[in-house]
Amino acid sequence: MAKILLIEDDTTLSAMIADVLRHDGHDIDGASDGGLGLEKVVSGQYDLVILDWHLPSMSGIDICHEARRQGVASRILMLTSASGLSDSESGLDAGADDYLTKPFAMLELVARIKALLRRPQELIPNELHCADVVLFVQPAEVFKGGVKLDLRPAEYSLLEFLLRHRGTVFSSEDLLDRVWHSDAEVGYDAVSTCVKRLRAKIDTDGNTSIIKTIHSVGYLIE
Amino acid sequence: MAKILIIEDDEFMADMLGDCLSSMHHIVEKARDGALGLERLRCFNYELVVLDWQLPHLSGIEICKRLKVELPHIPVMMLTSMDRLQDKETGFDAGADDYVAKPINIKDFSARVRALLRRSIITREPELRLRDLRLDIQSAQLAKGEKSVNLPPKEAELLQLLMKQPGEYFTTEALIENLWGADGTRASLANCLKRLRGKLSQLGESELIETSPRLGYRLR
Repeated sequence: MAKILLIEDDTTLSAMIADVLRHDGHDIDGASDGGLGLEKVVSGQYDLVILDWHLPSMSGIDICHEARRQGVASRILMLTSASGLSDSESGLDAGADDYLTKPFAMLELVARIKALLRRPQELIPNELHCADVVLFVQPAEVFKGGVKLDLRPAEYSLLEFLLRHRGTVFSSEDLLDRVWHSDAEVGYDAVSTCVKRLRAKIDTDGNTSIIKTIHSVGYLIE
Repeated sequence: MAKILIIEDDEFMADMLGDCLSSMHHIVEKARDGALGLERLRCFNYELVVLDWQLPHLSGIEICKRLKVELPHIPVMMLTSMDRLQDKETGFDAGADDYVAKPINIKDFSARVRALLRRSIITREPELRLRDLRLDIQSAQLAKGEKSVNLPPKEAELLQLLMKQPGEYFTTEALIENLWGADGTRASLANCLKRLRGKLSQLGESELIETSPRLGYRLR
């Protein structure tokens, strides 16, 4: 089934988790030390990584940060003994996909793993680039040549949407449907106006626009 | 930024979560009961659904199950006051992507939303091609060279079916069964074919669908 890496220094717990997951048909690899764990994570070959928060030599959250920084897209489930919610929050914001507080029931772990494996493999990076424009998803900010741009919410939304789906052409109808409120009483001209305003802010004079118009089909960022 | 639907009958809760998501720059829409929620999901495109377990008319679990069949790519976050282990299992088994217990900690909720949206990728279904004809399954737009027409849903479904196996005959009965189930009639198929042929002729393809009295219909 799935290839799972278990980074946990508590050998009793680790053996228990491995048993249950092997029983479900998964292929389990283990590491009991943070540094060694990170090396395995960045090899990028795992569908899912179960990551303990407290580990010798490197903490779970640092591994998580570093793995995401290096572009590892594996789904990450963090385990911790701390029940403080700020931990769960920082774990998730460090790039973990889910979080479970010890002690937990094996059944819940199995159910969460099943759900995590259903999530898409691809991970949207926090920084989206095109030419000299950089868009940050979190916090939502856009920079051009290092200078922060002042975008209206609709302009930001449209830019983020096109950057996230680079190479795909979207018609005005598609865009109204996905980037505007469903009950908004606006027409296609809302899209073209927004594209025009956005171009004025993100394009460099004299260069072709970042947002391409495909005549009578729609818009895209290549 | 994502377009998010909250299906929650508790207005106070819906507003609180809605405000939280709006402050995260998302487009938030709400539905107060299960049936209305499912209808919105079918009509509009959302990137995430926040779904309460207990809802009037149609339960969250039921919506979740239907959603995973009809629109499997939309992530579902289940909200519940049922925090027993077997409830969580039921929720995840129904296809929920995450499961959050009430009372909701808003910081945990928003971090979980961010985590779900990091993996929200709109997978566009590939287009179908036959010679120089291209049918975009999602937008139901049929194009030939520079020209294109938009097909109504049934006509698009019919053409999609035929395009998947060009050259193969489909009987009248098989087409009716596929498109309308038990409610279909010969007249519904005849009408649909007529309208589809009309659209095809706008692209200079009026002869594309071939009729055989004995074998049924196929694409040339």
